[in-house]
Amino acid sequence: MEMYTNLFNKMAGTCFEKCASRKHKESDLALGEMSCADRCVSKYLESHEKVGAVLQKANEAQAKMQQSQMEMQNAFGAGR
Amino acid sequence: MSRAPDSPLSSARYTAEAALHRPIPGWDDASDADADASSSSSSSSSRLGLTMRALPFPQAWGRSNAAPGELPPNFDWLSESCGGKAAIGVIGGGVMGLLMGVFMGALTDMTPPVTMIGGREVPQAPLREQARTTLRATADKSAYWCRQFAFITGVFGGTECLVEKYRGKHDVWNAVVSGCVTGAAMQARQGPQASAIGCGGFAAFSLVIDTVMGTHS
Repeated sequence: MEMYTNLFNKMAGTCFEKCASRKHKESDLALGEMSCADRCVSKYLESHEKVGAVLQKANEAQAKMQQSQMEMQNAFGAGR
Repeated sequence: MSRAPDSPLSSARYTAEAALHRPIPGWDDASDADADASSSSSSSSSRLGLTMRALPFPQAWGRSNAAPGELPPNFDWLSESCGGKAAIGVIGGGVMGLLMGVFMGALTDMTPPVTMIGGREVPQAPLREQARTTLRATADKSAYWCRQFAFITGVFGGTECLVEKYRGKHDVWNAVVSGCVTGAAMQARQGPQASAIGCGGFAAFSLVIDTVMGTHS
């Protein structure tokens, strides 16, 4: 859950910086700002997913390597 | 059905009992308590405890008589879509054009091209014929301006919406680009050079108007 809160906060901050204009004539988002926000959110979520998938693969690879290292050490230690 | 169901819609109180004008809870009790209050006061009155929501027929959504969870009717499909904006432009432009045409038609000068034959004045047609001719001229002018304004406003609104959605920014250059497109479309029948001139002219006009009126920044 903390991850989602973090994600939402970061996403809101980034997309507001990119899309919302600093000169406020009215309270609603203009049409251009709305389409910019839609695109920003979809890009952010997609990149978040992809990065998460790559990170998970890297973690798995590292965990496997650690496990095989430990097995080697055990075999080495038992063989002594 | 003796008691209104617990629904957030105000029209839920339109029960068969209410339709038959049976005693409505909160209505006759209040009027009994304040006997000297006018019986015709049916609008919101905090003193009698009567509100719009207590009326026994369906009412349109209003800020004073909405249930706590009810949202206002959603017209985003009309105001946020480019087709909706173009349609609104066509209709609004058409109305403006009609008004403009009526105004212009009333100012038309209807003197005939020949006013003197051989030293004597040409007799004028009877008043009814003159009035009919003027009316027809006004109608023609109205139709012309209606078409022109509807086209201009519709094309301008639609293209501005498309350009802004594509760029994702809200500034004055959307109007400039769509002004160019509108100007070119207006002169499309006269060839590419006229289109180019129309584009430049309308884009410059649009830039000036939007900078002066400050609609964007």
